[in-house]
Amino acid sequence: MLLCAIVEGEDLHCRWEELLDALDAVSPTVEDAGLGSAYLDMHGILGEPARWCAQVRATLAPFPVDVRCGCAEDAFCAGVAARHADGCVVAAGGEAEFLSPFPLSALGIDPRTIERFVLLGIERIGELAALPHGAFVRRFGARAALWHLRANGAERRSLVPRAFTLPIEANALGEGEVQTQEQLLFALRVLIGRISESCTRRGRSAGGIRVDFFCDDASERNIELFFALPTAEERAIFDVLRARLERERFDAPVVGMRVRALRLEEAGSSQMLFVRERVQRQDLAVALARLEGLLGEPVRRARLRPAHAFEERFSFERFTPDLAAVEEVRVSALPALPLPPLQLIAEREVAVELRGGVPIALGSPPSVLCECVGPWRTQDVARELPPRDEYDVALSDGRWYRIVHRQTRWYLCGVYE
Amino acid sequence: MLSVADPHATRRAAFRSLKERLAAVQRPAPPLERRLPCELPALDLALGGGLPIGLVTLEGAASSGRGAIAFRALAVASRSAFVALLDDGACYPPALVEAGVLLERLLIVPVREGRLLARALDTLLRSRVCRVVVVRARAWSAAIWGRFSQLARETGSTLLTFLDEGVHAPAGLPALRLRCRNEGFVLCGRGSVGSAFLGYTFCVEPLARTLPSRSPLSLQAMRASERMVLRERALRSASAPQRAAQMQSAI
Repeated sequence: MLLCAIVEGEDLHCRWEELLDALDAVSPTVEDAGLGSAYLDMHGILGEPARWCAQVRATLAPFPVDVRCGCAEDAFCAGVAARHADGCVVAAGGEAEFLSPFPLSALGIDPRTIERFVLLGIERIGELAALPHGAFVRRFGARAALWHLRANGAERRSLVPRAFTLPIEANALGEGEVQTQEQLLFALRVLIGRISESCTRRGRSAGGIRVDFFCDDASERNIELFFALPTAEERAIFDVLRARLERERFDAPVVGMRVRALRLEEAGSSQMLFVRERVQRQDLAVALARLEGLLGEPVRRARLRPAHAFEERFSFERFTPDLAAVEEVRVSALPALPLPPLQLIAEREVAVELRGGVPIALGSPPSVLCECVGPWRTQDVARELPPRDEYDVALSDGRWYRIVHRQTRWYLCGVYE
Repeated sequence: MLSVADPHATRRAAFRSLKERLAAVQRPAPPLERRLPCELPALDLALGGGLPIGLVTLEGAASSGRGAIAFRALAVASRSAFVALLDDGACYPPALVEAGVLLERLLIVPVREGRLLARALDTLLRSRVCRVVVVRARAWSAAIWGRFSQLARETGSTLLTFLDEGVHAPAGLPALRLRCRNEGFVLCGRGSVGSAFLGYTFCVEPLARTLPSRSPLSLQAMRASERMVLRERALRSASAPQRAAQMQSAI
């Protein structure tokens, strides 16, 4: 029996290796199936699926993550079970029946091919599984063989155990105390020199670094940093760390330090020819570290997400200097005209005068509206929120605002720049 | 006196004339200032190729079109480089995406305090990471304005600053001043439920000594999906020959 663990949480990439290390306590064979997903081989392990799932949850309880587990004889089926419902167990021989109602996208088929299937009247995995294997593979190519095997719950593959890496770290403990910035940087430079040497000797480069400071007043401070490009260069690592430490304050002398290389990768980096001008990769990491040190919070990257309320249609996450992802950005044509951009205002209640149910004046003292368009009604039924009406209104000075009517109150939410 | 004709004179003359012609052909072009085109032909023409490197101030009230120009610059620059937006809590990413900004290349720096804003901007410009930086200016001293202007020029960045009422940049520092003014709105289904604000027409007045033209320019900022609706309506209301001509121009 295989167990699939789906893990979700903030900053998962920072602690993914730690989570996988923790899962080693549950099974000796753990396959890393990408960020947030791991397979565990449970053959020969005492207990039944429900107990294994509880064990996984208990193991990952110290981490601030949500865990869902699913069990099946087949890795793909276990993954679908985990995504379907936490603790879902698919009995041996029942894989095809379990998978049959799921949509084709669960098989990892690209949307264009799914469109072709839909035209042929195939929308569910069960309908695909019922097709004759030979004819199906001849029609859709070699990759269709894998889809067919998976749809029938017959993909029996062995898990690929993840490679274990020895930690690369350097310590300075019990060697006196550090009281000035120069002393601290000197000590760090020595430790980073050792890390760099260890990385070079093992043919590895570090994607990040973690520094633990132990202070004289028994307090401890941890700093984790990530580089734009995995590196083993002492200078690059030190520059990023120094930038991060620029505005760091310690209340007591530092009596111990531990530096550990994170996200170890095979050494070597891709270089491009004929590049006219580009940002030095580590410069970005240094700038991000410096800004984080200055502001006390990281630089952010925005992501869009579906939501009912317009002000909830995005989220922020830490800006990681992952240039590999950036280089793959798909560039589309810009619109022929610029667009009127909406900007948010800290939501505040506002007085609105109505005539015939339509806003005619805004604020106190009231400013007459010269235009009012809307409303658009939205209601988040899932969260049991009351319906709300959104309007765009223009004041006589030419400013356009977004106002929202919720229950009996009006709120000012945005302005068009 | 004996005079001897130079046997190589003709050859020398030919070589000299060839050298002069080659020099004329290979003469290096005068160095052009690197500009950031907005990909709006009328505006780029008026600005002599696009937004210059250095400090660019966007003057005007809210809804005057200054945001449309700033976001356009972010969209164009994000195609080839990193860009940054110093966010005082007003950032609305869906509007950025709609304007064409690639969020993967946009650094959103959360700063609310004025003192930190100046320091963060200083750090960002010095890092030389971002091609365009957009910030809402505060009432900084002339020395701070001067430093930002110099830093932006030295690092090859375009620093776009929104100037709200009561905030002024010292004269002579900005490489370009754009004064924006709202001229009218485009609405859809006025007076009916579900009517929508489509966009606005605004006027941009570029103020810089080096520009080829300083005449105000009228532009339109409209939502992409709605432009199609308007175009269709225009087509429906037009006569057959007009419709053919409009279709041709649209193609």
